[in-house]
Amino acid sequence: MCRKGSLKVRVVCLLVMATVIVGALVGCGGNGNSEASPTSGTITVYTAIENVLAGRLVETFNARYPDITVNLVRDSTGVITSRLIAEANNPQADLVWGTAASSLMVLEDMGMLEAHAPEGLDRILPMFRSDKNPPTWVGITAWETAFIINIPELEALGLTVDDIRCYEDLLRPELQGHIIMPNPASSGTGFLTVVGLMELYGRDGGGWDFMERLDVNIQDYIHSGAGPANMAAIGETVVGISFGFPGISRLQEGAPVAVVFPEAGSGWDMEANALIAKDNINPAAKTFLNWAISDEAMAIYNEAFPIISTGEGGSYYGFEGQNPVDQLIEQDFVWIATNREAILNEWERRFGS
Amino acid sequence: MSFLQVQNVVKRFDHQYALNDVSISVNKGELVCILGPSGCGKTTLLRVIAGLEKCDSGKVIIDGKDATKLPASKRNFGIVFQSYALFPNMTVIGNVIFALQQKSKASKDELETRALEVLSMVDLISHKDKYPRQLSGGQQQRTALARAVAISPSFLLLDEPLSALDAKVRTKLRGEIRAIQKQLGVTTIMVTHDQEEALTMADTVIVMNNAVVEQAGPPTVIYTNPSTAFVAGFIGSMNFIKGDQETAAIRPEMVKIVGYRESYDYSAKVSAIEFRGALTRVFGRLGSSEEFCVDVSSQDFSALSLREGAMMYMQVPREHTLFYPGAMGRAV
Amino acid sequence: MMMRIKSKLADFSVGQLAVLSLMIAVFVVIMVLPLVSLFARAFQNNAGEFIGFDNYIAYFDNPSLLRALWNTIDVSLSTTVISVVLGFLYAYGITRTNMKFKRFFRYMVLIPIFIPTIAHAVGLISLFGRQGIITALGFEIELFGRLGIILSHVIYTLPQAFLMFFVTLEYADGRLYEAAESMGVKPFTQLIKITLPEVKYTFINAMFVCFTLAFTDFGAPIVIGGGYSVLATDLFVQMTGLFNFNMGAVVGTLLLAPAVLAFVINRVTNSANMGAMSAKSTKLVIKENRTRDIGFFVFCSIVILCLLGLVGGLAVRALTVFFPFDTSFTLANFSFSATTGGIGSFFNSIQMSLLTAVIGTAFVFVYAYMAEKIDRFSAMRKIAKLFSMIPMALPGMVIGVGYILFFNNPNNPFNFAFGTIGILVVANILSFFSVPFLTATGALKKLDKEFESMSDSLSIPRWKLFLRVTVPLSFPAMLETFMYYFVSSMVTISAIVFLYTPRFRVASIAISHMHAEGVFAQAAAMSLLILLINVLVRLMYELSNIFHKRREKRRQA
Repeated sequence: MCRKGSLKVRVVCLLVMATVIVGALVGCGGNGNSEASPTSGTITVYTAIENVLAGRLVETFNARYPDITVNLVRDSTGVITSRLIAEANNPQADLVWGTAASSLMVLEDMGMLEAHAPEGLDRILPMFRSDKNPPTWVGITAWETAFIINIPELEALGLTVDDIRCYEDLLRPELQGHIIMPNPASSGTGFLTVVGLMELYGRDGGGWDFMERLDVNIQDYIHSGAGPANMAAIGETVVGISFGFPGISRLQEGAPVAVVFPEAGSGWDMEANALIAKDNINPAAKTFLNWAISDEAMAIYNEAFPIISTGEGGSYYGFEGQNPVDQLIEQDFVWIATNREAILNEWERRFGS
Repeated sequence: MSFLQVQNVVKRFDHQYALNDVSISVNKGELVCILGPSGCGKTTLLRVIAGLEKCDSGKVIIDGKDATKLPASKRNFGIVFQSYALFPNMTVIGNVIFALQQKSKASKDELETRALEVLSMVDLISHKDKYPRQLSGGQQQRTALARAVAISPSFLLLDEPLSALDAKVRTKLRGEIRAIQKQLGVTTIMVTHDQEEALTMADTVIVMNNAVVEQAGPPTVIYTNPSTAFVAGFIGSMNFIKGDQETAAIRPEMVKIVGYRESYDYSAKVSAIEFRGALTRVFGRLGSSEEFCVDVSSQDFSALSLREGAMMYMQVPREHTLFYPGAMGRAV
Repeated sequence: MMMRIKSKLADFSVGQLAVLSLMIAVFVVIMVLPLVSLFARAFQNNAGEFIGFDNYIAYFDNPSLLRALWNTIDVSLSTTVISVVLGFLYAYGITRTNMKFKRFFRYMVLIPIFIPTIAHAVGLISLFGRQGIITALGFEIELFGRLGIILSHVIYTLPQAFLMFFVTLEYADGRLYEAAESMGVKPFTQLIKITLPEVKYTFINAMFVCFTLAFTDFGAPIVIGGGYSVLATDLFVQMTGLFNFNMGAVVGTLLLAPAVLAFVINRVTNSANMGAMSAKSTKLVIKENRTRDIGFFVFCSIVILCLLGLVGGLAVRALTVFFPFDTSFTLANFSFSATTGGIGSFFNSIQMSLLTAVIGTAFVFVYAYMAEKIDRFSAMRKIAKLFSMIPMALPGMVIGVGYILFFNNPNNPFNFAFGTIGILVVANILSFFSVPFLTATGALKKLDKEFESMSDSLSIPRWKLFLRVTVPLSFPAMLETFMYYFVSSMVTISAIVFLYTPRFRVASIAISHMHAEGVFAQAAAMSLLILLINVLVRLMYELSNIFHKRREKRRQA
């Protein structure tokens, strides 16, 4: 089950229905790209993509565009976003890359994003781009609620991985005090998990009721989305509610964990790219944005993320016999954005320490 | 000829007077001691003269020119502080040369020659390469003096220069400082709280108390004819006898002990006898409270055969008695 | 005319005024204006309109935010009590007993200040977590949350408390004890009647330092605090989770509360603290008392074992493949992923810390000289002194965000500095300013006040006196300041997390990234490297101190 290198198993993707749909929808997206993209310059890129991945991506980019110097500012989604907001008067970043769409919507509201249709936009599934035209942001990967389970610790409780398949399984009395979940106020993963539960169990009360029941088993709510996965990996908790990437990374590094995507589906958010609105838009930034949704880039994202925005994900650990995109539940991002504060306040009221 | 004048200087620190309308005058070439108890304002006066402290009002006139607003560096004086303020990271000669460099553009050799000259004056040539901490207190003091006179100042300021030394060295250095001062003929103002130092060294003594000058004059005048009761009590020992309108004062050595058959002015019961070497001091009580003392040469004392508890009879010569208004205004 | 200008210039006060004004101006630019930019937000709504105290009212109406405030006070008070007591006992053991290995104990207790606070938490997890080495021995504690934060903070503040008590107790006036001895006063009564009054002000100061450090620390609660929210994490959440800079600014102002309080109380205690030491104090002779020595030896050993355990906890993580599930030895964790900055971030840290130390030390000493050794412009000097104590209370994050808001503005003439290594250095110099300032002031106070009068009378310019006399004489204190700046800059995170530049990543940030990404082993490995370089710097400091003392001795011989 926990084979190493399962990520590298690239299966030729299913025929993608998306290509057709998108082709129809996005026909108009391509007209902004007439000017030639420059192949030299210096760009400042803000990103929340994990270091390991971001580094490899920039290397690959530079292999193609050796004369474009990429200055990468990498940090957590929250820090990147607040840095962008703090710098709103005089943006330092030319573009933001691989940062939570929910955050980019906040930036969009503040008028900080420049609408821009990168080349190849027509390949992106509509659910993964902003509803503006040309789009203010374009998604590249999605990340989704996953359970990272420390196998020896779980077995010490008398359970096996097969016992933990869906959200209800987390309510098992054996798990009391053995689950860590991110705080939705400080973690995007925490937030998408909460939203997912509300979508699955009911926005008005069912979701909250479920979380109240889950709360009994929660060891801690922490301020990081990857944190629960990491804590499970080193055995500091049994189940970490987190997202796939850190869990699978730890697995590859040798941690005795299993990564489980809940059967009912996962709440999700996407990492997206956007051009920063400012007086002197750096033309080389557009080169980068074009490349950032190219097949070459997507292939690398795909090594770490089962779900890429072209929908051509392939087969994955934890998604055997299933298109990972199907794991994503239906979410109304507009509703989420408008209710974000209310949701967080309600969560804080119920579960804040 | 007056070289330096301080006119009606007032200086306050937080509403407390340090100098309250102080005026003094110093003649060229003389050594003036400013004497007073601690906190009387004497160091402040020195610092005002130096320009290290600005006065609130009044004038400082140096060599005929109004120097009130002149910064310290333009007043051309040498100064020796109580702590000496020797730079500990420089040798003896290094300290002197460092001082000389600021005032002179002369070559290094010339500066060194000058430094050696002043160091030989204070007899420190053999210690010239030592650091201050390797020197005795007296040697440090002389280094500070050498540094102060090296720049050929037009006047010299000494702030309690001997107070950190032990009694023997102090006595020796009094003489040395005075000798160098006379040799150079430099006008010198010295602050001290030690009356013996003031009386032995100064041409003029200025006695200060409570931010004002009580009296200024030659040591003998200050001693024999103190103009206020404070000065009388502060300088030397003094017996005070309260009267209705005025207080009489007489020095212990001016009182004569006589036999009870002779005519006497006062009698007292001997309360204590102190042997002080050449002199013996006999304490007694006049009436019920006032203490009174008499100095007798130790030789004469043995002839008197006085002991504690016995009565002694005293003559108080009128010509040596001083009178101050009020029933003993200030405390001794 | 020429004459007048000359005499004006010769009056050094003009130059002094210029330098003093410059110093204050620097502080206005690097501290006051960024803070104003940030705190103005506390009184604005999202649209940037002034709304008075509405944000504060909203804050105090929100029970969960308010709880963070109480939590912070709770952990800070607990930390303060524990650290101050431990710090006092530890310092007492080293200065007032004859126990063995005092020198060893004295240096080892400084370990925590050589590693980032995040690493304290990582080490604690290795010891007390579910898989911890100590937990495995059957000693279980509820690490994540309040207890973990307090433990972390105690580790972090203990060396500070220790150092303060050490200095006070080391310079005890032996005469008092001799007098008490001759009167037949019992040892315990001596402790109560002499020792405690001696350290009374140190107690108050140590309490404020520990309280403030614990109150504003961010590293420990974010790693080990779990869901236990405190003001610093709240600030982080408000800023980086909710993007609510206005509420963040409100929290930022609350974080300043202990500093304001400290300042008020300091004014009261300071005036009473004068002239405690006279030049005539004699060195204390420590009496024989085996029971006491053994007791303190055991106590100090336990403390050191805990601290060494912490390093051990880091080491097992750094040197094993995947602790605790694969404990075979490896050095692979020291080949850092290039993407967190790699080993380059370590060298960058050294470069940044060296720059901070050099510039910071120079700045602190000139600043302290202007505040301490000038006898004019007392109003300006008071402002300068007030400024000097504020950084102690400023959480790094407040500085960081303030800097973005202030410097990253095209209309700001200092905008060019933004995004350079320069801004990191400036942020560090400001963050750690207060302690070096106290060191510098202390050193300058020991110098003869009459040096200045002397130099004025000789028309030695103050700058010359400063370079030729003050600097050489303050050399040990400057070294200490240099070391303090270096070590602090090596371990700091929060001040620069918003400011580091893409081309210039530093090790402490790399650690926080490694931690966030779950590569605890690399985080531990990097922490060990930082510990190593800091220990090296400390060793060099001690050696140069010994060298300096020898030279001084030669001068005295």
